[in-house]
Amino acid sequence: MARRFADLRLACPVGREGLRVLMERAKAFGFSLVATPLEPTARPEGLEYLKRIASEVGVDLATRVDLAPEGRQELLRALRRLRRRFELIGVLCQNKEVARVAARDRRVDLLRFPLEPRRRFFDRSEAELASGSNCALEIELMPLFRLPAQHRILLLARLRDEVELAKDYGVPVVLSSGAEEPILMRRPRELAYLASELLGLRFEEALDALSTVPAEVVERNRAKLSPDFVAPGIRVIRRGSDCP
Amino acid sequence: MPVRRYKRRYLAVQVEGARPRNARELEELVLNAILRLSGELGASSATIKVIEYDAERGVGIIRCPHLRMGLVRAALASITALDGRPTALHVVDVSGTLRALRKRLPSRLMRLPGQ
Repeated sequence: MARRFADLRLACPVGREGLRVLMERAKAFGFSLVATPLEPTARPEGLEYLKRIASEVGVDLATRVDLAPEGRQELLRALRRLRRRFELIGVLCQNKEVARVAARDRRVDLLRFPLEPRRRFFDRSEAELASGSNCALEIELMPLFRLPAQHRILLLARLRDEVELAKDYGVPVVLSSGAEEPILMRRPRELAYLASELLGLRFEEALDALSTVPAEVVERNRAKLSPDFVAPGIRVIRRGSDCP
Repeated sequence: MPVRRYKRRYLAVQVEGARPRNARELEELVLNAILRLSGELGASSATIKVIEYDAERGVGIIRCPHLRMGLVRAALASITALDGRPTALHVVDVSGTLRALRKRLPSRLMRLPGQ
């Protein structure tokens, strides 16, 4: 069966109409599931409108919000407020405290770290916490090529270590383009080749990180947000007059 | 009977944004990207050659050893600028023979929204 590719972080700052062009490009490149960070204040009708555009274009749009909290309390407050409104929550861990809380919390889907080797806190403890809570490690590929060479070299070494750790602890790795401009978008296989050359993933693993892994994260959350969800593994299958 | 020592792959490339003016400029752009990604040792093992390039349409065919195709494609994806202007090189098709690639190429070219 053909793979369904996903790019969970199209980071282009565009308006609603710009988003349509972005989705059309993603479709032309072969992606069938996309997500772009939205404002935490986005209203439900706005999200519905975006979903409608996506279905007109022929891609599946997952609603996503990215948080960049300064501390534990701020993160927990934002999670309480936003978890049931968005299908994906990514947390940019700017300090160790936030990184640990985010990795432990089941409401966080994607762990992100700054593009500075010293401010990446994905170590053994973080990986162990993330493996217990189903958080995925998100790695954005295209911003790497905007960095000065020296900086990129250090960061790539760090990223390879993180991927190795994630594999050891069974933390899912999600690759996304992180394209800040439409011209930085790449086809999924090109991203997979990049990841396999730069990050030490096997090509098949890189393809999974662009297809099955992100799709599972989105599916799991959609199931949780469904009114039929009761608890993991338990859902309502019939209601009212439907019940025998 | 003489046997070729290694297999080759032909990559059809579509340029978006700033376009190289000719085949030589395209080859230089790709070679520099390979150099940046894997150094001189990697570049020497990924001997690329631009077979043809239409600067008007921004479409070209690049040949590389099939065992180094991953590196070449990664290098192509890593190209983000040409002389300071944004650019992107998309691999739209791959084939083991030029004939098959040329036959399929017209149907594989992308019409990119927002281009």
